[in-house]
Amino acid sequence: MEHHANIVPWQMLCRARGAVLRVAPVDDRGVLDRDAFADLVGPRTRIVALAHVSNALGTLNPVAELAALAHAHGAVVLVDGAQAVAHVPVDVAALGCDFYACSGHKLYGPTGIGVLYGRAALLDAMPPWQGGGEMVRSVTWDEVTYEAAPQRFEAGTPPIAAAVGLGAAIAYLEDHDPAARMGHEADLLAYAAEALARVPGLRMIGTAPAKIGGHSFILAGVHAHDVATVLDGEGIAVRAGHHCAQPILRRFGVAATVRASFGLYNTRDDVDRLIAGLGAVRALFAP
Amino acid sequence: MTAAADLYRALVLDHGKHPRNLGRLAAATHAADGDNPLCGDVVRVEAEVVGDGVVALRFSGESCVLATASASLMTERVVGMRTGEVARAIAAIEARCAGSEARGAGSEARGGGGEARGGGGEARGGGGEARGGGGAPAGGTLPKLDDVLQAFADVHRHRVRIACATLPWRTLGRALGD
Repeated sequence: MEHHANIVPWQMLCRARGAVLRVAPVDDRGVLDRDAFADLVGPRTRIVALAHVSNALGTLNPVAELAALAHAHGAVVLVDGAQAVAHVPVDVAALGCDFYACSGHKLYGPTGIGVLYGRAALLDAMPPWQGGGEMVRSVTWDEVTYEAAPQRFEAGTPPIAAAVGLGAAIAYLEDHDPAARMGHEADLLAYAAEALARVPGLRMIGTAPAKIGGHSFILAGVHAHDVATVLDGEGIAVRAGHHCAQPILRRFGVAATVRASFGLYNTRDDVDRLIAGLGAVRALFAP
Repeated sequence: MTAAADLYRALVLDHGKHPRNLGRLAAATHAADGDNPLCGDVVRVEAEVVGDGVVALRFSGESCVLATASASLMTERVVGMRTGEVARAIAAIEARCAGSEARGAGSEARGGGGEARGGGGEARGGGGEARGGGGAPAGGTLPKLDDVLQAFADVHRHRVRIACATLPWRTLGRALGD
């Protein structure tokens, strides 16, 4: 159920290093098959990479449980938290992951910046991936001494303005009580699920019991991009397309879905508007 | 319907809901498959070319209303054209959809030519039967190139949809380039 960002880099690594990429399947609800996952992880598993929350399905993965299983086989666990950080409080120690990545633009912050958490012992053991200023202690024509982690991974002048913006976005999120945020979004998600289920011809893609962030769906006889264009005209912003998650959409037999995502600023009125907008879509494209 | 109304004009909705010349062409001499990886639209264009004239054109695939309507209009407009004229029509559609209007005056001139050839298309009859009472604003006659250009006049305002409207034409271009 991964985003291309958590697929393509591993494919590149596999090609460069001769590693093998193995994929854990999901069931028809979009829930990870834990037995299959357990069978796939073994002594030769080096890295387990998984989404905290699926951007295409909304599935919330049981990261702590899966990380413990991976660690039992000596694997390093990397979590793609891009879709999670704006919606759930993240405690990397409680999750038990070794790396946790997230993007600024998914938590109401700027594009082009993000956060990569890494366990100190692993970071200390890793060589720099890029050379330049800021990441060195001293340089001669013959020698270079690197800074300690994490500075040694941040060559060159950083995107300072984006970092300030990201800090402001995180402060904004932290100004809101996490339990209240989660409660508000859970209410919206449940309210929307009920309302969407009543829309004729609508099929929800991703029906995991534990969902976060939004709903992905298709409307019978109407292409996702046509749905999105009409909704856009009604002042409703949804995402249409493959969500950079083509393999999981293929798993569900669709090329594109419409995704309505909810943030802490959304209300039940917004959901009502979405449902009314879908009525307009159906009216316009009725055969 | 506000921003969507300029995109889904009557002619587009008519052809999008009731596509003409949908299917395969047994006598195809040229064919190509096209797709829009971003949205998953796929279209196959099959043409029968005799000499340098397109005598039949059909399309198939899975696509949004815009791409379907564009393909349907294309099949009606292009039959009867010579391949050189098709190439100019493709360029005109692509320019219109991209919002680069430098060719505006030229398209009218070509539209006139298209009208003359439209008679040839009607004479074929098959296209007319396939219409099945779709109630096209053109009043039962085949669309002129200017009608088609006008139908997609506002596509350029919806940047992610440009590739939808141009997909069938780009695919036809590749088919005829074979």
